[in-house]
Amino acid sequence: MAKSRTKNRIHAIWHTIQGNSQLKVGLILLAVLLFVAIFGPMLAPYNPNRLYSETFSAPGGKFFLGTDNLGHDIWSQILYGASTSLEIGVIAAVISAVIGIAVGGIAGFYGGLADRILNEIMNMFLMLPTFFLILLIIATFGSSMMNVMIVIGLTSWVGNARLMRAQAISIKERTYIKSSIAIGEDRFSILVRHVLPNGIFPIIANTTMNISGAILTEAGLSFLGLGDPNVISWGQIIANGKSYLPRCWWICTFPGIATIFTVLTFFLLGEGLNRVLSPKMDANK
Amino acid sequence: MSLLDIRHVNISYKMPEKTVYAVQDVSMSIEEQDSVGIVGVSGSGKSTLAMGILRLLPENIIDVSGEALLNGRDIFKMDEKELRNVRWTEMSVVFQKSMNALSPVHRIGTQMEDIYHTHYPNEPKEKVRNRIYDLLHLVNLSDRVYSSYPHELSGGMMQRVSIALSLIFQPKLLILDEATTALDVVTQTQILNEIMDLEKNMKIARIMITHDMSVVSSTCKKVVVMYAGRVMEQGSVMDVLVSPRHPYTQGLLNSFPSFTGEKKNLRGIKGNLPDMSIYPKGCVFADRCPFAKPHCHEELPPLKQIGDGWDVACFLTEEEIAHE
Amino acid sequence: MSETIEVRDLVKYYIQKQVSQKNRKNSRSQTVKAVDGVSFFLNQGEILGIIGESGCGKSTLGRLLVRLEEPTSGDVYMDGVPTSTLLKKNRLAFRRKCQIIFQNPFDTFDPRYTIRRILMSALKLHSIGETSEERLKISMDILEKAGLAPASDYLDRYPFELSGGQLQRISILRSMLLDPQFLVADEPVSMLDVSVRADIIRMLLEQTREHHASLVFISHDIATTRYISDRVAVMYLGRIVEIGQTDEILHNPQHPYTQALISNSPDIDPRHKKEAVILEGEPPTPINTGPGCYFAPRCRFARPECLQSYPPMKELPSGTKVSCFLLDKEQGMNAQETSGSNREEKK
Repeated sequence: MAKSRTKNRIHAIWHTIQGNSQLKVGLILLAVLLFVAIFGPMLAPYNPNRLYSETFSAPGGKFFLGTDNLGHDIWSQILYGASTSLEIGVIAAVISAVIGIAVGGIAGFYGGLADRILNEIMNMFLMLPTFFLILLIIATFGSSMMNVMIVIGLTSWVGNARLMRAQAISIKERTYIKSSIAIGEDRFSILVRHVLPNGIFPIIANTTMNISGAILTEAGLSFLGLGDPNVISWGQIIANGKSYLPRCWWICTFPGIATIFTVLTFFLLGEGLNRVLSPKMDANK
Repeated sequence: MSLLDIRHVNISYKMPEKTVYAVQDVSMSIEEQDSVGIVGVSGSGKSTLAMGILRLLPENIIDVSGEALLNGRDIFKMDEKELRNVRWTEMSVVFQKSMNALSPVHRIGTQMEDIYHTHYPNEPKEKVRNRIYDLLHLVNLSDRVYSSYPHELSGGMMQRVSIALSLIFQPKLLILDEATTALDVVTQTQILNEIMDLEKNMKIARIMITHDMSVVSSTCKKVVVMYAGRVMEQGSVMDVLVSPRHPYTQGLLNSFPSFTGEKKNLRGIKGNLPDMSIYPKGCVFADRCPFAKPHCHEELPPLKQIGDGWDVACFLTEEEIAHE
Repeated sequence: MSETIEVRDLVKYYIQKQVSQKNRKNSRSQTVKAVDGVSFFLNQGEILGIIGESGCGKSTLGRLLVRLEEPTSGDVYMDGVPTSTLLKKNRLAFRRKCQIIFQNPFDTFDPRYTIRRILMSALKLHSIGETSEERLKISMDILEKAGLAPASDYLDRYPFELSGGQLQRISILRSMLLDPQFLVADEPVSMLDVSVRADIIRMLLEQTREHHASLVFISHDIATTRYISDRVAVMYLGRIVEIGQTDEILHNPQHPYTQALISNSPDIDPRHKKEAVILEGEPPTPINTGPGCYFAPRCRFARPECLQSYPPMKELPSGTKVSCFLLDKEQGMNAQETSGSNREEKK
């Protein structure tokens, strides 16, 4: 009995994906990205850190996408860099989501003083010029990958918090919440077991979009030289290649295209998810 | 010639995975100044029937067969132009949640005038305005409603505005689709009484679509009982509601507790609606019917006349068995 | 010693900010007096119906009775102990004592929980059943009892897969699992199809009798309330205007509002046509009520004194309590009898 229900679920999910072109394309692109991120290093023809004598070599021939000023193979660098971008993007967005869900959920559900205080905190964070704050923190605390992820997460959570707060405010009026109170559940457990799971859909869609944002922010940081120097990142490659434009255009262009590709993937995913999850939410009401 | 003659109407929803036979072989005729209540629970097809006749269903997903003759002309065959002429001038409708039917950012008076202008674009302003005031008085609303916004009016007042609107061109047929369901009982009675008065004065026929048997009992002369898309029993209210012949009607009436007299045993009807995507082989009610015989599952009972204007779709009436 | 529930002067006011239309800057705050002093007594095992129309405060009263909302003043006493104290001392124990059935069965359960999880978590929360196997068995028994058999079919379903009637039955049985002393049913059948209502009403009756629980049945449907209630209270704008034995109130209504309400409720028998009492004006909202009787502005018997002070509740020989100045006069009944009230033969 249970088996056929999971089968039905999978069927329903498949059907939904088929019906939503953004989601479909997004998922396909995501599959490509994941493939590259996981298997990239194995597929790279050369060691990305190795310097070859053929510097400034144009795309084609021995080096698929050319080499940079020091003789790095661009193609291998891009393949290795995929995992960096994905990792940073996803983890930063998840940090942002977790903070946002917690703050927004508490503010919306408990209301009153907690809401007012948390609202002011949210406003404060909104007022901060985020990029400068990131620069400041990286400059102060160092530019490891971890710091980058944390700081991006810390500065982008307010959007999620706002979403969650609105969800919490509307969900707490629902009958099943009152029913849980009447049955005897305590408020905190109602927040965690009923309000958050039911309100999380828009956050999920928003988070996927935030992944794009995080990747772009990281690329920007690397471009400015503030990224983690120990990992390969597309932003770094672009930063390096800036000085050699426009003659050696390939150094900047290809990592740039890779970034666009990644941002597009998550954007489509987010849009598609939003489309899918919102009508379902309304139907449940 | 009847005012509205519905003949063997079938309405189905065509969906990619299946077809839903929402209305099956429904026939009835409504004469001038009739008051007919179409009663049924959700899924009975009553709303689909009404919407279908008003041509308000999305045409690309439905399949309609049969005829709906309004003054002899088939509504289903009318084109856009004819429909527009007929709508509101010969038949009009009042829906359940009227607040949702009007624009929230325009005043009532303006909207009513707009509607008037769709059919009579060249009427002078003064005349139209006076007509609107007359209509508002007709439904016991004061002049100040003219310059109010929808959100400033209560539910009862909004329904009255809807009724006024439905009468703007003095149609011969008024359809009320659960028009008083969302109102409290005092306002509901008030409005129903007002409607009945209007009918008498303006000679209007009324179809009331509702699940509330008491509304039909107190305001209609005839009743049509629908279940799972088909007509189970139809006839005068005095016949059907006092000595119902169809087991479904009996079960339905038993579900309503009585105000007075013995606190008789309140019984529901066991079971659930049948799957409406399967065209029934036998009687649609057979699975839930306490009197069902094997024969009932095999063949669809036709609507048989058992009295003056009284039809029942049940094999058992012939044998007088389904009678408590 | 029988257990009793006493409601004393229960009040719930909401402050509503209203922006004056003419002068945007002026925002007054209005007080919505949803429940404005309700008192009554409920014996163990008794069923009290509360009838009234939208805006009378009955739903708010229902929530106050189970402390889903805090009253502005007044309290509910269970065996002499105020529920505010009971709740503070031991939340779980209090919740076991009084339960509520909601109007909307489709929204009563978390849409992401299976029926299994819904029942099991309630059992676990209240430590009913020692092991999860035992709790599973209890859950399955409950489902079978609700007519949802075989239980294994329903355990893994989600609320949206069940009908309103089935969901409401699960809601009632889940509440009764806790063996409450006191149950509130807030319009439990108004969202259900008429053919399903009878079953739910009967189940409510059976369950409360079986557990010797008291029931407060809130509804706007007088006929249904009559079927289930021992006594009935009529509410108007936050107050009880009349309370007494069900059939006494329905066949011999004393308060002008009760008379209007009953005469306006049609019967399904077309032979019983009633002379409906016409009430002027729109059903009001509980803002700016008083100072006199809240019903006076719409009452056809209203006299100057009715607008000056609120009539106190008086008990009539029949046991009915009414809040109306007309009955102070000897034979205040005369006024009622000429009004065309519902005449029925006494049984």
